[in-house]
Amino acid sequence: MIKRVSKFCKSYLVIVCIAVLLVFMAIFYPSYFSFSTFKGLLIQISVYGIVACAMTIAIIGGEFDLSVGSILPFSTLLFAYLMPKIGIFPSILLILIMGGVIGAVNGFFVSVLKLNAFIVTLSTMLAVEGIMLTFCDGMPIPAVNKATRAFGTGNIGGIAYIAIIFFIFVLVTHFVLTKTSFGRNVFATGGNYNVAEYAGISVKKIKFLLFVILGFASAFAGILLTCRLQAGSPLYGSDVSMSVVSATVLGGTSLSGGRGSVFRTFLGMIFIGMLSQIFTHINAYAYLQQLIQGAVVVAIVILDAWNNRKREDELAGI
Amino acid sequence: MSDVILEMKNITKRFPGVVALDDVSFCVGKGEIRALVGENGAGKSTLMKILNGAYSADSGEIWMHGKRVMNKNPLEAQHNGLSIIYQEFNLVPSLSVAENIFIGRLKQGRKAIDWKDIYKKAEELMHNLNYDIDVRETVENLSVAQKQMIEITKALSVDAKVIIMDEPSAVLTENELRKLFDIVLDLKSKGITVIYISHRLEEIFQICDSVTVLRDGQIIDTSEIKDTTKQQLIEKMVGRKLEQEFPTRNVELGETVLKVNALNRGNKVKNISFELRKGEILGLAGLVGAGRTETVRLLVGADRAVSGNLEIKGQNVNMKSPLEAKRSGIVLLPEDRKTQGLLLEMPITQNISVVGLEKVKNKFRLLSRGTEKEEAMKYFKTLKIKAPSATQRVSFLSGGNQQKVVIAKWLFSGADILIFDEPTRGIDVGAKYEIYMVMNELVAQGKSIIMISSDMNEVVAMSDRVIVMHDGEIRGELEGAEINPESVLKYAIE
Amino acid sequence: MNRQNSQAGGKLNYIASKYGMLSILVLIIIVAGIINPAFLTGQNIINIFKQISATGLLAIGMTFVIISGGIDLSVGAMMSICGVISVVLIPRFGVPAAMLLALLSGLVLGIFNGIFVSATGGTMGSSFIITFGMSTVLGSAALCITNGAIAYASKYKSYMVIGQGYWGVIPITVAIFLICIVVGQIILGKTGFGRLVHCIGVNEEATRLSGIRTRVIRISVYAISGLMAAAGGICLCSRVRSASPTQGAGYELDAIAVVLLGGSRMGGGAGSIWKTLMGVVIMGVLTNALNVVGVTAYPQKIVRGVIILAAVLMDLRSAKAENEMLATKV
Repeated sequence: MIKRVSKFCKSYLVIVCIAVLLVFMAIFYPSYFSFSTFKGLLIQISVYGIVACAMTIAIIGGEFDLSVGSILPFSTLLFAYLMPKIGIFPSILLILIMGGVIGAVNGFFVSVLKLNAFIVTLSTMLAVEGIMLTFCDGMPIPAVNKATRAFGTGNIGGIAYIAIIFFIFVLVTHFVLTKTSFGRNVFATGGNYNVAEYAGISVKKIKFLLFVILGFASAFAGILLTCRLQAGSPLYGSDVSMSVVSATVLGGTSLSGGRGSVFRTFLGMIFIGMLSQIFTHINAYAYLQQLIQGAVVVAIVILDAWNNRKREDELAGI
Repeated sequence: MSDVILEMKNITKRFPGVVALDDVSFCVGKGEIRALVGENGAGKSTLMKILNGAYSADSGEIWMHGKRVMNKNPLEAQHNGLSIIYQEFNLVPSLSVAENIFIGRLKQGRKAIDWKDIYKKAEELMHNLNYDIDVRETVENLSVAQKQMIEITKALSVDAKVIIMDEPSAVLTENELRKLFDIVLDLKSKGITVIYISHRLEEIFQICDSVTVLRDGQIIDTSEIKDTTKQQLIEKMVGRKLEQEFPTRNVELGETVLKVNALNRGNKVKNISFELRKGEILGLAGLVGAGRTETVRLLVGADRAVSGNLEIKGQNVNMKSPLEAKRSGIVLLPEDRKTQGLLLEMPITQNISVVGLEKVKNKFRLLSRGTEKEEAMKYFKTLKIKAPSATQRVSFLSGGNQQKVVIAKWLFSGADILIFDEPTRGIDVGAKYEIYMVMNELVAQGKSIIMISSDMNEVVAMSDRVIVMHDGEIRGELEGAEINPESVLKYAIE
Repeated sequence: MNRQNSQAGGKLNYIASKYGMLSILVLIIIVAGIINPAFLTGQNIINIFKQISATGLLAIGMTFVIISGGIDLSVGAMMSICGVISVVLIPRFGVPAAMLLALLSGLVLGIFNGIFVSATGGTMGSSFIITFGMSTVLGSAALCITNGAIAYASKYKSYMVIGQGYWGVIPITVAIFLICIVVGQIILGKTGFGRLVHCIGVNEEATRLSGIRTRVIRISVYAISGLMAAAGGICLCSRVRSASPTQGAGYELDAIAVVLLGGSRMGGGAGSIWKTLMGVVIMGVLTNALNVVGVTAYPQKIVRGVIILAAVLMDLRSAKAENEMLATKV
């Protein structure tokens, strides 16, 4: 029994983390528990959560993307800039294309030229940031529009539209990962690249698509953020890659690829969201929150490696 | 013989400096179990890789079902009805059994993946083979034998007509082996051809119909199994009398230098105790996976023992790390030289000096390339290393010379006990003799050697004493006249 | 029949990759000199070095890390936090002690990086994710220390000496940078430690089995990187007369870029401090040239992103060319 519990805790570390947070708040800040905090939590995690879904697919496929950190803010600025000029839907379309193109550039360098994904996405992050800052000269752009405002702040029965879209994303991602051949090929590619290639899976195409999906998702997340905040800014989403990677890894999707699930990432997002809510609730520094988030990532990665070693030892009967 | 299913015509494949396959023609019938035997480096793996499309032949043709085929890659070979089961399995460890069987072919039509259907199909396939594995289990949790079954199932599910098995028995226990034989015979009854590559001649006589011998890239002979004997096969494989293959030595054994007491680590090393004497070559025999490599890794601190201890010349030695082991003069020459023994991208000089950088420093405590080169040149002479210069990158050396660089490295460190893990694997026949000479010279100088080897001739000819391991335990110890292939094998398979 | 040709081609490729950087440097200098003759004055050249010395210090540490087969994304944040420490500690401890403590912090934090990276297997991937996480930790720690504000240093005259002072005609920061280059090259190229840094970059397991404490080497490499980042942070703060908790953001990328531009190999094993010096100079000249011809800060970011990518691509090509070259030799 104890063994089974400990096994469960090991594989669902994030649930334990969430439970710890809840107990802590229940003891020291019972006022935390209310429907409005819950609503707030959902709104808070929804936008990044969409990027997290795409990041989960990428990490299962054995890849990684830092450029989401500049695609997202760039798309908020573009949306704010284009919407009054060419209308809502044409600008959405253009922005999605922009995201897809940047993703395709990443994908090309990683899958065809076989460059390291970290360094490629670092450089595109920098380049897109440069383009963005040149474009807006470092200033935010207001995006006041009745329709987008109604959409960005509206809700059904207290659940924000944006949160509902996030839920849909989670479900679709889950479906794609478990029920489509694309999804399973992502698992195979991330699990063992050579075996996947031998099995006739077009591994290069898979890797390429991972980045395109990430590009789309980040651009789309940027549009939603603009609707919610009624502005575009180069500072929005600066910490998205950190949050999203933390959530994914925290959820238990291994960085070495080949295993993971989007529900785990969902739980990871909940944890990250709760963490930041709690910090606001107890009036801690925003900086301290970032610090702890970084520390959590480092700790999780070390724990993950340690777990892997344990498992190998267990297989060897030690 | 019945219908020919696979035919290779005049296949030639050259690599820089060697002809790996020289005008090889090869032909197998439907439902035949054909053994393919030959020494390491005879060209078996090249032949397989060409069939499989991993290599392309320089010249020659492959015909299957009476049609010429071009196997440009493994996938195409699979479409043409040819599957290979390698020793290192082609499986994705993080995925389920069923998914591994149907990898790349999970979906039919436009609908979502029907997992129930896939599990059912996988179960059916398993049933057909009378095998019982939970198809929902993750592959990484399975035993080696079970993984092999999955590979066979996978091959059948793509409707393979020819299945090549590369040393399938090397990793199996006796029970599992019997099971494998049943399956191979079952495949035969279904009209599937099996090409069975193995070093164990006994097995071949048990289940194969015919046997092809490959030597130095040429087909020496193909015959019905009933028309040949083991002795004949060995002679054809080796191509000369065995005695000529090994140099003689006459070394007086000295006092005990190494004493291993009750070493344990997991299920690969169980309660291992033995002794080693000065001037002795101790053979460590057993099947692949018997725990030999795992044991010697503990001796040099590459892994940590869970319990047990080590005495060198009467002194208790802490085997915490390879550094401690190096200081006490016990070192390992690993089987996988390229990834564990050598710094491939670095010159010979630096590969040697890495174990004793203190000895190549000048008076300012900085490295002296001149001294490094002088030291390396000493070993060029004594070990007959052949290379254009001492600063040649080791990646460009032949297997034999690479092995000599590893030996030089450890001599430079002043080691007294050298553990050779498969000392001649991947080394040409001619160069093997030189490695044996070196080993003999080392023990003549008063050093001691532990030699892991899967090459029976090597074990029998080179060892003063042989310890046979099986399933992580020592099963037998042979000395002097007791050392012969039959008794070694008896303990190894048990 | 084509063998002769391809061999000659391989050689050409090899030479191009070996001297390609030098020719690019010369080209940039010529073009910038024609567009704006002020570019080639002695004063401007000293300026170039002054601007690049902080990046250069980081790049020295980064060279060690990259040759050992890893990467250190935390040096930018490390630079920020050590810079901040060196300024905020002055009132309590005085200038020299504050600087020493800042250097010590860099060293210790670097050791932590090293321990964490070793604990996660010491691979390229683990060094990326660990130092990426540490970069967030250190960056936000710097913000916590100053509560997001900038710490001004203009009133501490002796602190400013490093960034503002001269030895003869050479600015002190430049002198420090050049000294570190020489010392770094000796350590990396001539000592046993330096050799082992190369060895773990080529094959850590083989090195460990050769009886080397590879873990200690790996940790030391990150310690050096941390120390150099601290030195870079102090030089930068002293030059701009203040410590901003975000001043180092982005510097890690520049440091990686110059190391790769110089021709050290991503993934370890090959490289030298001289090469990095070359990369630093190219980056300095390029940035200066962009300034001189009037390109503003934001578009310069785009150029940098493209340069990093180009440097990695070039790295790939030169690795191929060198292999072909050596293979045909035999």
